[in-house]
Amino acid sequence: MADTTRLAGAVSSPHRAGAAPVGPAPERQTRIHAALERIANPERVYPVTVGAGIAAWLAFAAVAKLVPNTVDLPMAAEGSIDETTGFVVVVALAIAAAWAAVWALGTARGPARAWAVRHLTHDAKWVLGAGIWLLFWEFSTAKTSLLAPPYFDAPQQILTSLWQERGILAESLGASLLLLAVGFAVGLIAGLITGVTIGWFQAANYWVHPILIFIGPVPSLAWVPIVFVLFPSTYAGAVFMIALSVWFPITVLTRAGILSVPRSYYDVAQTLGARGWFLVARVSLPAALPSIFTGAFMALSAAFVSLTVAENFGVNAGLGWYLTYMKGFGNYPGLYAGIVVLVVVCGAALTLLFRVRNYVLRWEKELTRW
Amino acid sequence: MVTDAAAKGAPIDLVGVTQAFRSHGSDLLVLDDVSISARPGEFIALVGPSGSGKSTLIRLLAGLDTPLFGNVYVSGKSVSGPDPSRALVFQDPTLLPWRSVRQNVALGPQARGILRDSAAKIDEVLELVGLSDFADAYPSQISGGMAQRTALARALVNEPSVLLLDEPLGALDALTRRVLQGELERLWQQRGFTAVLITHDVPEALVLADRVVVFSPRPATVRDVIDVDLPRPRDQSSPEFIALRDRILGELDAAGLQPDELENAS
Repeated sequence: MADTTRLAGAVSSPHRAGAAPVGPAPERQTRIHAALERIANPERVYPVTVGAGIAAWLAFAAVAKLVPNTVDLPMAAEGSIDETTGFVVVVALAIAAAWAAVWALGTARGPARAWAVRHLTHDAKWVLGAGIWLLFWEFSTAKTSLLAPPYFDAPQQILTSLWQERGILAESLGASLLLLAVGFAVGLIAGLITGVTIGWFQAANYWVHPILIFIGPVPSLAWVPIVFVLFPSTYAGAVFMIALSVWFPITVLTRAGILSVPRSYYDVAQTLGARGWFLVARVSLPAALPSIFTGAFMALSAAFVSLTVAENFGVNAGLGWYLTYMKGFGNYPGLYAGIVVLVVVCGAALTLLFRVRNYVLRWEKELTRW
Repeated sequence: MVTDAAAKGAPIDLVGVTQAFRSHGSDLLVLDDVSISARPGEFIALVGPSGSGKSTLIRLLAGLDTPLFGNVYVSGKSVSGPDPSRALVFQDPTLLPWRSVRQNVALGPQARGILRDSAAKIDEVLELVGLSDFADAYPSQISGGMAQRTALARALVNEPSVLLLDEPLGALDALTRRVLQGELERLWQQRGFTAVLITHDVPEALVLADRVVVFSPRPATVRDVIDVDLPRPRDQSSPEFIALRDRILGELDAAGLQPDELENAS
């Protein structure tokens, strides 16, 4: 955006008044654009890395299919590995084929070239790394038992568990997401209200801030014995625990954000006729938003901790409960399957929050993109 | 409430204004019995050493602070708080960074609940300061001069009867500064508001103002008031202009201080 602004200024620059009125000729602009594009996105496709990536995934497929499983494996493990080996091989071959296709698109001239090159430059190392990691994983578990079951399991075993436990996993996922959403929403709203109130009113700050400082940092696990006694239902208790762990960082950073708003913003707004609630909603809150988002990131991690704690003590549902349940049966592949789902959920929630932030704070000059 | 005020500026009367602050445990007298008047539509400039309380004075006029003793009257009424009829432009444009240029200009109408009826007026002032093409840019994307034009447009959209200018051009480069001096004069002539300009730049004061008020070092008192009876647009190389400039610089020198380019925090 800044670049286009500057370019627009250069085009209509009065210093060029004697020259052609439009500025640089179109083909020259195209060249300038291409040169800038090369600087911004240097095309560095390393054939060795891309080729090794394809090779790694092919090797993984070959090892999974052709190398016999070690004789040390228990019967159950053997069975669950065989069940999904075919699927894993197909997926690995498909990834290798897709990667080769992207490579071909990147070398050929065509409309998709830029897209392909962007992925070839950016993703090559991850494709290779993931292939090598899977190859090592498959080799050290199913094929040699260097890492022995039940604590270490082959990728196929986790896949089999994901498929076998899909009903209970989906149910747990739904329960967790609902509890997380309700707890986070309650904590966020309560935190914003508290933060704005104590950031704005000295009297509220006098009473609430000391309480905040002492209550906020107490880990949610410590509340367990009291919360599930005090609250009418365990669900309400769980919502409270999550909301509490969200409320604290949101409140602290909303307050800090509001206190750090430059006084000149209020001066200007007041001389323009702004009063009371307008100053809070249109000056304080937007100015505090970068700080509030920092609080939201801290709150999200805290909410995940509280979620799993609450699900283990009291709420007998959700991914946290599922993990303990699987552990109780010594079902390690099932446990890993639950962790995989949890990892995906946490990553997705964090990505979503970053997307929202990048949109809301698009006016910030040097925003760290994600 | 101020729709008609643009037709002519409001008269300003400062009567025996004294302002002091408590700073690090000691009392700091900033303005000592200052009395200044401005006729409706007059352009007055205040020059004085750095830290002599000029910004304090303009905050009193804006209604952001109240004087310890004395009274500030605008249109014959005592100033009791900020009002959109008295617009303020700082050295720092203080645009709200999350609002586009247009939204910043719209701040006043929005705060007064007349946003919907003000679209045409917002377009008009954007046009007036030459920012129509940048209405949707964010403050982080525009230059310092453009930011200051936005601040001017934001002040003018309320059609103020008094425009308070606290070193509005102090942070700009010499070229932009000259251009904006010309625009300020044009806007003042078009709109007819009463203007109060604080500046460190004596030639700038003489280019723009009908009268120049020279302040003493802190605690500020009015040292001299000089009528600038020269035809507009003013010729900076004319002997009369140079004589006035040297007279004011001499008075500032006699006060033992040069007007400082660096505005310190006061």
